[in-house]
Amino acid sequence: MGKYKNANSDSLLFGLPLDKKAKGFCLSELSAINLTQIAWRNSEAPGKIAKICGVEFCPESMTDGAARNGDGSLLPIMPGRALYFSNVGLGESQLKSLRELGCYTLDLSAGRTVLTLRGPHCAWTLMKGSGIDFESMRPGSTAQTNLFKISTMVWMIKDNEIRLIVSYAFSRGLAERLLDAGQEHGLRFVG
Amino acid sequence: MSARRLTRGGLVNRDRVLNFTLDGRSYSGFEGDTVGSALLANGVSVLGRSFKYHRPRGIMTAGSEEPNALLTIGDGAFAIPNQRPTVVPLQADLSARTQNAWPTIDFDVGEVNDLLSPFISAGFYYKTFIAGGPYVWRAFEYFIRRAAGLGVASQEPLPARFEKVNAHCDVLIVGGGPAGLTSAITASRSGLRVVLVDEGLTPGSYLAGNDSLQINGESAENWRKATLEHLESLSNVRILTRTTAFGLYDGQVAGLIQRLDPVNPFDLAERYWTLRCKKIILATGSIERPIAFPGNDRPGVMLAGAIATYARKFGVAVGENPIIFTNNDTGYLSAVEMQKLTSRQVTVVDTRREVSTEVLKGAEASGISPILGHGVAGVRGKTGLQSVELVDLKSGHRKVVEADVLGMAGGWSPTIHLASHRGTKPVWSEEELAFLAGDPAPGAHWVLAGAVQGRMDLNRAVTAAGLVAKSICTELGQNVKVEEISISGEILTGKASVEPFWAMPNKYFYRKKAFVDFQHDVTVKDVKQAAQEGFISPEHMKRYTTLGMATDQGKLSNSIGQALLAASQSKEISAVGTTTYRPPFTPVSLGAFTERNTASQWMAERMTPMKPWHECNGAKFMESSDWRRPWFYPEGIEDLTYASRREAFHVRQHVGICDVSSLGKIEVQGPDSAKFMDLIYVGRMSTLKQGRSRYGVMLREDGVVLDDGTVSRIAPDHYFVTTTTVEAPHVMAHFEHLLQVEFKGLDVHVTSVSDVWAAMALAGPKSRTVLENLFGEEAVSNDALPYMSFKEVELTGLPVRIHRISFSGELAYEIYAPARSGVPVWQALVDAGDKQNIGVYGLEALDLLRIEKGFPTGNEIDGRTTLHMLGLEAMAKDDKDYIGRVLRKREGMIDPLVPTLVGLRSVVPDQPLRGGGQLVREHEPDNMHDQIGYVSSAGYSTTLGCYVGIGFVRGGLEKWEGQSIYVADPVRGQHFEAQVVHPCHVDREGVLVRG
Repeated sequence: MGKYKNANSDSLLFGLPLDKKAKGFCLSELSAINLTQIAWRNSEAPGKIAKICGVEFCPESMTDGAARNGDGSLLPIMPGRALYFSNVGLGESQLKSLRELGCYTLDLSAGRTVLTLRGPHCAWTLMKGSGIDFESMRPGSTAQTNLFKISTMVWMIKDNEIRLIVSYAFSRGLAERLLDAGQEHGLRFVG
Repeated sequence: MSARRLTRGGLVNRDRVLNFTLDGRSYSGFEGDTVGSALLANGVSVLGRSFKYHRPRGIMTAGSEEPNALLTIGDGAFAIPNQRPTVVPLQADLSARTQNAWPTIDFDVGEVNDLLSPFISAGFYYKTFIAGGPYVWRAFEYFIRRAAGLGVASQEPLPARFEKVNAHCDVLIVGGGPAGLTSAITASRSGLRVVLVDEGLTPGSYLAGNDSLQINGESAENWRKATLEHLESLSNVRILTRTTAFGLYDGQVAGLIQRLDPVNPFDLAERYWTLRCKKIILATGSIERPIAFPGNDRPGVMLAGAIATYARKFGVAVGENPIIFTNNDTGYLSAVEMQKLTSRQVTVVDTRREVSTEVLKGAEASGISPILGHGVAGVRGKTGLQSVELVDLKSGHRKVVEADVLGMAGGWSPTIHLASHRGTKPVWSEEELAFLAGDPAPGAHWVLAGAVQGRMDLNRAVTAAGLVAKSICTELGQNVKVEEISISGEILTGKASVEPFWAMPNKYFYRKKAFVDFQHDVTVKDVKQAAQEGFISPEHMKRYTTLGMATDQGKLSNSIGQALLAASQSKEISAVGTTTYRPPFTPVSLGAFTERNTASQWMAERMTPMKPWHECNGAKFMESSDWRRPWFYPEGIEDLTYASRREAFHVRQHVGICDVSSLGKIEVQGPDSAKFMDLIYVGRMSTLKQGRSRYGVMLREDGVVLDDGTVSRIAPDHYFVTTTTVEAPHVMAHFEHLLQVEFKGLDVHVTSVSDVWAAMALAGPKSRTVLENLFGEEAVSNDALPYMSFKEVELTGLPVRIHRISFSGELAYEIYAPARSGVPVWQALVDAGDKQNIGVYGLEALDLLRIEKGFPTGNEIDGRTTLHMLGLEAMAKDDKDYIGRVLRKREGMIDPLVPTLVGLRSVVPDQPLRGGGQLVREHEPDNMHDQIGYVSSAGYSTTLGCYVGIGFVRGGLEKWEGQSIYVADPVRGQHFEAQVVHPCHVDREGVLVRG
């Protein structure tokens, strides 16, 4: 054993006050998620990308929202770019097809943290940190914003359930701010 | 309860008694009271001293326009000065203090100013202290500043918190009076999102307890309650009480301040709303005006409407012998209401000789016989009204009547401030005798509803408000039915017939003060004096007299001031105009604007993946851009100096590991990526072989160095770029700008991956051995992994990329692992280096090492330096195009006299050489200004046993190498000799890095 202490941790959220039994309004970290960025320039690519990824359509703008199909979802980032969100990621054949289509992919999984805010006060809590109209967001819609000054992708899964995709380095800061803003409604971190 | 509290009426909860103190004296009130109403119910008349003359003052209004009674509310850190008790809800155990008085509110030494008032009229400060020259001002400044201001802010941090909420709606309705409520009902039917904002504790308080009014056949109070219940039950309506719309801004953005219950469990004091709306209905009503007469500031003199409000809303009769002094019909409304609610005989004194029969009948029916054609020539009672001297405005005949409260009804000023915020110029109305909002500009998103449009009876007001709401909904694509409301029982219908009687004529009083602006003690005489001295514009008069500059922003005083100013010039008021209303409508705490951005939430902290490890091992951190990076790892009682020297020495002797995850990292992909890299960097990157890295420098378009870093070629169409920590966002923005604007045709995708990769520098003569322990000798031998190359390997199943790069001048590697694998990979390296006596080192040691090697970084590449200055011109490949190629060769940028990079060493080894020192030619401690360069970075070299540095000197190494130069450090009072050497202090041949 060396002179340094071992501090194994695969999450910067380690150490936040944890209440695993909390019910109702809660914040959690979604682990083991694959996030692959797909970039393209060909205007005809989106439809084909959607087909390769097995989703309904390839979102080209923030107004399109996310396209889902079972495990995988395509989230718009900016014109010519989308994020493929899934548990297992794109397979070799899919990556090859995308490459043949002239698309470039990057695995960003390690650099992003996915937080889920669940409960009746999601929108109210997020309204404290961003000018997005959270109250009128519909399930499936996405937006990119500075949430509590931290660049975040907001993805409304369903009523009262919102996913927040944030840079890994800022994940602790965002979680702390969310817990503080949601304190009045008893927001708890459930791990 | 006190005699001033009526046995019935009001919106207070008489079952809940709340005790509170004022200046240590105990009082009680009811839940639902404001601090002001509770104090009036307790018969407290003096609540403050005026700003300039320190005259005793009491409550004048029942709203946010209160100019007189300002209190410090709360104790210790919670003490907040200049609070208007007329809008602060009473809380149990609330503690309040009067202010601007010494030693006590009853005996105030400052009152001597009142006696000196003939000498300190308007313009006194300018004439005496400013015109007297700077010495006069300096002599008196201390005393003037001591005397200035009202309350004193706590010096302790406020424990209460503030927060911000961003909200959106379709229709914002400002004002919860009858017009606002009617608009809300109509708009809510559309299904549109409606926000109703009201300053009071509850909307519609004008209707509360108003037994004389019938709305749709039921009492006004019942209608109000039912309406509120209905609105609150609707999911598309949000009602914000105790909330002030303090400003309207571009893009239909309204700024709101919501005052929260100060005893809520989260210590939230205020919530600052940024409300983005499609349409705005301003139902802000109007504010009653006072009349200027001698002694109109005395405690007991109030606005007539306020007297009625305290009776109606809080069940408080503010006096036993009330007099209403009016110049219009609405004074009768207040009188009748007060008489009915309080059963006190009210006397009405009207400046007019002719009053409509309808009004007179209404008054007489209530047992009120008005005294017509009279004015108030003076009052008796310094701390409480005792009597009022009336004068017949025609004959001059005087008489004195007993009175303990006097209500002024000088007409109404529509609350047009928010409309003015949108750039609409107020327009004078001769009919209303008030400034009204001008017509909205084409395409404006706001409309007016109710009394803000001018005096009107309730039926007209609510009917018009309903139609306004309907038209707004139609504009937003929704058809709605207007809420039909019928109001009966109103005494006064139609216009108020206001007489332009602003102030008592001078002939009726002599050497007595008739106040126009109460808080700032501006009198009728001051306004006239300003006009006489040439300040004939309202804007100039305002600044000369300070009329309208107090915390109430002239809500009561502006109209009278402008009328008097016009009269002084024999002009119409419309010809004089008014001042510009700007946000905020009422004072807003600075804390509200700061919201939650304080302490740890001031800036979002960016953590490296290995931060938990560093914390666990005692690292001290420092800010580097928005990152928190390990600065040093003290052992025992070590401070920064010793720890960093030990760490740097350890790297040179053994091996060290440093967290460099904060380095900017960008993936550049696409068929044109090689072409793009050539455009970005001064060197040629298209020839870089796959699997190799190269140092690169990029310029701004003006030829100044932007940043440096390494470029690694992952694939023919894929590069991995690193930047400095601080410049990473700028470089990324630079790349995006070039691709989106300058080189749109290039098929290149750039992605910031700074957070995706954990990066660790492994440096020192034993660094290769550490890697051999993990990956085997063959994998990391000099042949397998030569200098400036990289390879991808696996470490217990984790993908890892090893770059043979050195920032320390030692044999070194940078190991990149996916961020979430950062800690395990770091731990694996630390464990693998145990036998090699591996040590961790922080940013300070890293800096010492790179200074020894003469590598430039942020201190040298600071946005002012060029390739020529940094000695990097040889890197530029001018046979290709790159950003900054032309402008970097401007005459001034390649001038031989421009300071260029050199190394520096203290001649006396222990003489600290520090960054920021100026380089001068001669040893002249008294002349430190003839500088020919500066020290950019310096530190103690454990390798050389002396202080070393790098800096810039005119003539550079060519002229100065081996010579002495002097370091002048006026900040630290130092002046000493240093030797100019090559910037690379150690291993100039690069043997170590290539070893």
